[in-house]
Amino acid sequence: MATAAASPRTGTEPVLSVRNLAIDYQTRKGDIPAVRDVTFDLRRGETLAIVGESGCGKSTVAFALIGFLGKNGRISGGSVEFLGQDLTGLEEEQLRRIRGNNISMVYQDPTSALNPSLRVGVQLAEILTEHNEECGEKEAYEQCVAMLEHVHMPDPKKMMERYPHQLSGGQRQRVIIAGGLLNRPALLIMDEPTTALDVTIEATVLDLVQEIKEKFNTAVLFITHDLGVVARVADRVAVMYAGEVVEEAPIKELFANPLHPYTRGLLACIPRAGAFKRDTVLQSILGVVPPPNALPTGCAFEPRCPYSEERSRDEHPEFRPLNGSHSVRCHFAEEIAAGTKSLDERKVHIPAAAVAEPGETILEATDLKTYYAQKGRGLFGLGEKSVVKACDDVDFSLRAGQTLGLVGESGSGKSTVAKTILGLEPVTGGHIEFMGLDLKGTVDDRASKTLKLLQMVFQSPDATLNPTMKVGSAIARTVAKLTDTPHKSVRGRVIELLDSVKLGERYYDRLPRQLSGGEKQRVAIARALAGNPNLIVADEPTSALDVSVQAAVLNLLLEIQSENNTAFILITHDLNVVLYLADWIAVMYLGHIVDYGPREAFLKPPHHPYTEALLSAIPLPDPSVEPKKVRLEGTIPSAIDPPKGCVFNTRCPRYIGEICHTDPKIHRLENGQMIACHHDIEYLASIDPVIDFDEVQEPRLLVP
Amino acid sequence: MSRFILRRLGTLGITLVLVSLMVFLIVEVASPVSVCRRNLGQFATDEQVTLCEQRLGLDRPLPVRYAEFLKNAVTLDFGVSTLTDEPVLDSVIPRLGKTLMLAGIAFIVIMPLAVVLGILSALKEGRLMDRVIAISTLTATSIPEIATGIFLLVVFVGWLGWLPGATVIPQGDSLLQHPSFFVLPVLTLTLIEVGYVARITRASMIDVLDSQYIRTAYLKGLSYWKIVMRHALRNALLAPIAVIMLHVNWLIGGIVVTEVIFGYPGLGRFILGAALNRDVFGLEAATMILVLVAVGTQLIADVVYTFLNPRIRFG
Amino acid sequence: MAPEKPPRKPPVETAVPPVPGAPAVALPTGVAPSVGLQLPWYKRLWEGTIPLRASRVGMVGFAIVAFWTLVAILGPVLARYDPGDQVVAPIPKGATILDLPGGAFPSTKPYREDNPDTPEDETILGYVLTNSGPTSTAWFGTDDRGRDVYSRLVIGARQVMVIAPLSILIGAVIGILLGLAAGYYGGWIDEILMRILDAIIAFPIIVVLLLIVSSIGASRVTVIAAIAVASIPGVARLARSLTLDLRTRDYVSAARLRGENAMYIMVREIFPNASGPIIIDLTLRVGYAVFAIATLGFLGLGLPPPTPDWGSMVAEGRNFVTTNAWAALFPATAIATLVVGLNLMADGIRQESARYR
Repeated sequence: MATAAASPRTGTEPVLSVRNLAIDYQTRKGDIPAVRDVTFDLRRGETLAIVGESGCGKSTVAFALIGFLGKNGRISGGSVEFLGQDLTGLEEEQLRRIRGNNISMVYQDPTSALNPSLRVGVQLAEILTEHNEECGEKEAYEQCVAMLEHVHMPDPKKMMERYPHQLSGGQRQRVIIAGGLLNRPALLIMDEPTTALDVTIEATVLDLVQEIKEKFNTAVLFITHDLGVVARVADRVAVMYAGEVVEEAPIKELFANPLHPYTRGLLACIPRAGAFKRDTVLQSILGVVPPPNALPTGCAFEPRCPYSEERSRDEHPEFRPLNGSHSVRCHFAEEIAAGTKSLDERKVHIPAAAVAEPGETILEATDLKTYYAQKGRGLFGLGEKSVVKACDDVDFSLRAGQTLGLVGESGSGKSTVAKTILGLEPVTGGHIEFMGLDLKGTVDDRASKTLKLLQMVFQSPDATLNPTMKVGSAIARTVAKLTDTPHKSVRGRVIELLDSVKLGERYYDRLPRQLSGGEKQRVAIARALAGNPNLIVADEPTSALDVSVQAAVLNLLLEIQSENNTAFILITHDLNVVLYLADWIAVMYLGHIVDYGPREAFLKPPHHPYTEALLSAIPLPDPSVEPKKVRLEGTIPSAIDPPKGCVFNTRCPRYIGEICHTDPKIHRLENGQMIACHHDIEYLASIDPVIDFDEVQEPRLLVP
Repeated sequence: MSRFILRRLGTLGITLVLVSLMVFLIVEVASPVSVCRRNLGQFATDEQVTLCEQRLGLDRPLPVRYAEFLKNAVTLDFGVSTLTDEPVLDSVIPRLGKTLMLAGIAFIVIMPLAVVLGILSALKEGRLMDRVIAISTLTATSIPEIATGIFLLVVFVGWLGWLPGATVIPQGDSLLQHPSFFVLPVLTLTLIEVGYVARITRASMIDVLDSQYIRTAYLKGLSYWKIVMRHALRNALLAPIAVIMLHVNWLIGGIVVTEVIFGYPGLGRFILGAALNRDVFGLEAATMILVLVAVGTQLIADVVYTFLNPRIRFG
Repeated sequence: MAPEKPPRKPPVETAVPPVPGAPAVALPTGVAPSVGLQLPWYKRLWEGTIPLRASRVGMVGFAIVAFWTLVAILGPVLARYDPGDQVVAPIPKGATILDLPGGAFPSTKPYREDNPDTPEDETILGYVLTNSGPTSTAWFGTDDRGRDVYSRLVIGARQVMVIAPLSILIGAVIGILLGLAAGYYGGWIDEILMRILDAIIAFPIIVVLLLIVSSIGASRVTVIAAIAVASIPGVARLARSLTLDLRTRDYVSAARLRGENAMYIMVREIFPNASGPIIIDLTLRVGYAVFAIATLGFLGLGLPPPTPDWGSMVAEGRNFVTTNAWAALFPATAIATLVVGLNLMADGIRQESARYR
């Protein structure tokens, strides 16, 4: 077992010292440098976050530390010193003894990370018995139970006997974390451990990471693409771009004073807590990440950098410390810090501010219900059928030019509401009125003149386009089906649409596999615009995209709204994005809308207790803001058998008692807000706000 | 779990009823040549045929005849086989025994060998041993039993003369006393089946080795063999069971052919003879039994799979 | 046991263009300088055969199949005798019946040496050459009825090469339609179809064939129908599971949102994306079909005589394996090579397609 440090919280000797690490992948066409130059130190009790977009090499660094590079990868340069030993020179057998013992790794997707055929207890105990010869079965069992208690697992003894499929996602991640800590490793590597989890569960896992760091004095290397998560867990941050670390600083310093142009670009394109589309814009840096086999000579960021000069193309910048703890890889770091460096505005995309004015009410949903009947469990599917109440008693309305944000976690029913309105799912009960029409039935029953007014943009860019259909044909088909455009003019219209999403005519004959994720999403938007819709439903349109691409797509949506007065229903789990884009917000839980109102109403109480928990859970990209801590226990109940009365009663931190098992009171306030809760409105209004939005710093725009 | 078995048994029952209906329809109804004419042969006179028809009651309405057919089936009264001149049951049961013996021995030989080959192949994926095993198993499994059987006959009986070409047992002896008769049939079946099972096992094992939980096991620092034996194997062996279940019917065809090639006195050879010689009752009985064996085997495999898969067992 | 490929990245989309080698140029965000405009159809077709051409195993298989296809096409040209004809050898001058090889019997046709100078009316007595090994008159020898094995083999190739793909094609069309419908509509259509398919699969097809043959008799139609029906469940199952998966794709929802009807969606949105695995499966099934045709012929359940069927040739030759193995060996080898060739082809394509993805 790795010896627990008797030294103070942050020891003086670094646990991990990485110097100029370089990793290559060998392919048939030659060596590709996935990682070029990474340098950092990590001490006990410290969390270093490595942040970057996909392809920057951050996961590769993590895997290289434990020798998990596969047949084609190898460390081609630099050193990795761990507790005095150089890991790069070690044999496989020596590395094996370190894995799970002195260095543990936790990575994302807990669903498939555990062996489905073995009990949880077995999978935990073997970590101990493998690395400690003296540890017997009984002793291993007891230590596992103790560790499960450390990670706040309910009923640890029972958990040991369970199989992974009987646990929830959050519970599985805790089991994996517990497993990683059993041998009290000096270093814990976490690679996107919460990306696949719901936001309220993510919050509890992040709390856990903080807690174990303090309890066991472990050094934590945390890899993520989410700057909000970074702000919450990290002590120090290293930003990676194209295989190199470009900036490293303590967390508060990085957010307050980013120096590298890439970091500045990143921070300028994510909405800060509480930012609103009418007040600020998301500025994004133009260009793409260069592929690892076609890197520019000189500075890797130069083609996109608004501060670039001749020197950037010729000379590769060194990674140098600026003032003690803040290091940057940029020729002009000092000038940028002083504010004297000139900026080329053409390299920055500065969108116009959103100006759409709300018009008439175009959509009204009343008492909307969508139930799915499941197959019965008897022979031939007969027998008692269970019903999934995906969406129950949902009311809301929407005006032209407005954006409604539908927020909720998995199982909340937000996607079902969208599909029901669009007609992809049949309505089980209730009423939808759109543009004066009564929307009944499904898509198959609607005329094309209705269909064209109501379109959707989907979540996954890969699945949104038919791989066997050319981009132009797909849009052309939509135009032909939904509008009366004469045959000859269709192609012209398609090109018009492609222009409006900033793609252009040369994309007409391309196949989807030749496009990047962001481009595919733009094509999807162009397709949705084909019939000049009054309402577009966007279902997590940017969740699968990198941060810089996200900003561009969101800006595009805003532009469309400004020009055409289109109404949007934006479905997302990201409350941050919703607070930026939406005029009205509806919070959904287990098929019910629990909190509904104009955006301003969500900045301060009264809140529904679930909204409170959500606001508390969202990782804000602003380390100076400390939200009040409100955490939920347990998991979302099944929609097949929802709790009676207020569906939130199993997890509500403000649970009253018996009364919560009856249908909640509906409070309607003057500003249009609706809250479904048994508490009095005065009580809800009197609680402390979760986030003090006045504390939030002004975003550092590239172009002020 | 028991509910699951009950449901499966129910499906089994329905299938058997459907089978009996199909057999009845095809054999007794669909043919332009009546049952009696087939039974008595082409040299029988018209009077004999009419007499027989009256005796069997072939002029009665179909549902009645079908009901009687079912009754006979359940009480195991199938009539007399024109092929062997014995009551059908007496002809069929011993032959079923011999077929099961052949199938059993083949199973015991094939399974361990195939699984080991498949796993070895997967562990050494892409390397020489894997390629050799992959190509040879693909080739062996592609060659039909008739070809394999002939090749084996030519080599071991024709050229080398080591083994008998046809199964001829002296009167009174049991088959087990002459193990040399088993060698070629079992070898034929093995060559075809080992390849198939080995390839499935290999594919399944490769899938498992690629999975996330094996990565977790690796990151825990477990030793190679522990990862393979404890983590990989039990998941890798699940899929082959499911696939083999679907494969049983193919196997039955193979056994029939193998029995014919080597003159092995099993149910397969019998049923072929019954079909070609128009032994109606023998054919009906043998069909029902073979299908029962096929469906029964699938049921057993299904139950075993469910039992081994914790996701289904523990809901 | 390190994995063979680099570790997976988190499922976050990237702005990196999928085509490596593209230069990094400043463009509006999210726009990659994608390379590779649409190619003309014949180039795309050639590209489509890459999985086959890239696999050595696949190409070996393809060579074998191509060989037999050629033989089938050129059948009558290549054959030396009619398949039913008996090969007659000349009785040497002065020999009597007793000098002839065992089993020989005098032929009813005169033997005529291929010598244009031989006067028309000169007849030389001949005997039917039965069960002989390869000779100059009969390259692969003769069977027990004196027929030329080589010619029968060559003509017989046609039977197999036509019936196998034909029956699979019929089965495929029906199977794909059923599978698409069951997968797309779901509900009771799906339930009924699955029950029916389960019922078909529950039967050893050989038993069904035995039943049919004994009642109705064997013919080309029964063989084709039997193989087609036996392949329907497998194809339908595959089509169904692919459809079930594809119908949840967003582009299918997008199609529904623009008012496309079910037929269009199945044909244009779902099927083209399912065709890959289906084609591989069908190639494999043609191999099974050849396997089945030969086996049926062997058992006497296939094409009725006198059509030269490889399977029945093996059956006839089997009885004389100890004296003249060639009569059985050649057709057995032909069957074996053809099926192996088809399977190698299918396997090669499958390996390479998986790698491509």
